[in-house]
Amino acid sequence: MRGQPPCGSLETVKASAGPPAPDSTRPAPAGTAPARHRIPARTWLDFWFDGALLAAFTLAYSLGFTGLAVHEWLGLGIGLALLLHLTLHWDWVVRTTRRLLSRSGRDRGIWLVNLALLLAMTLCVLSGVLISRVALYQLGISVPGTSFWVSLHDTTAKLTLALVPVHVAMRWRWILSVGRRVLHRDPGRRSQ
Amino acid sequence: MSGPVRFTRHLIAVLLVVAAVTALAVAWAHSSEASWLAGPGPVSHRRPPPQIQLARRADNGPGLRLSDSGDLIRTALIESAIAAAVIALSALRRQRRRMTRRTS
Repeated sequence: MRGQPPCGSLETVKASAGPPAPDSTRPAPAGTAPARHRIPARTWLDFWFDGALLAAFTLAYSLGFTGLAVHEWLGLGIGLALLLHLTLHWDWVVRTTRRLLSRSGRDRGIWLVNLALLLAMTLCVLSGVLISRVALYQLGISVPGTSFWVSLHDTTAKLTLALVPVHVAMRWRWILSVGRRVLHRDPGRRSQ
Repeated sequence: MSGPVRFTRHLIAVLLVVAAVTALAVAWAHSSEASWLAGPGPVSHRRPPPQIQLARRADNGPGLRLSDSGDLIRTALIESAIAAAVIALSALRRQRRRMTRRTS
């Protein structure tokens, strides 16, 4: 993995597109997509998984819309998805942390936003579990929720709401680039 | 290193980070500094924040309330506004960098 472009970055998309073939002016055979429209399976996964995570968070934050039961189950799901998201991007975390001092201010900014988001979301999910009244009750688990955890949940949820769009927007060029390819409806656009 | 092995190692690293954050939060909850967040007085008998009270009053029933989409729209608008501001700032900075490069 070392030496490869970072997962979920613009470089990945550019690399996946590859240089144009000498005969790229010819029409692609039926059932295949032009090289520039092919998306690696990993980029495809990142795009849809992160999109689903964003949608789930937006829903979970809208307590008046979801009700407490859906809010809690979504929160537990987001907690597990967050673990997977971090695991999938752990290479980026390690690489950026190592190069933090030598890289540009933009990467440092993204790293700091991501760190704040990691802390806020972890604390939000943790406090949410500890004040759960429906989901854990249905699982037969009782938790001693105190007002500390309620306040922490409220504060970290607001912080997360502010940080999630920043986290997403700081990668808007990647999202735009992959989004264009993903929504370009060609059969066989995914490469394995 | 094979894919599953690498994934497992990364997952363990992530779980360790999450465990560290959890331990710090639990230590905070049991320290005297807990009142900094929850306010003075006994920690377990204070009123929860308004949003939680609203949720408790609202219902515990399952299912989405499609007729009550105001909350969802508000959340989406807040997220969109923040994202738009960040994108605008980013585009502005990019444009300035290009202008500086051209003039120099």
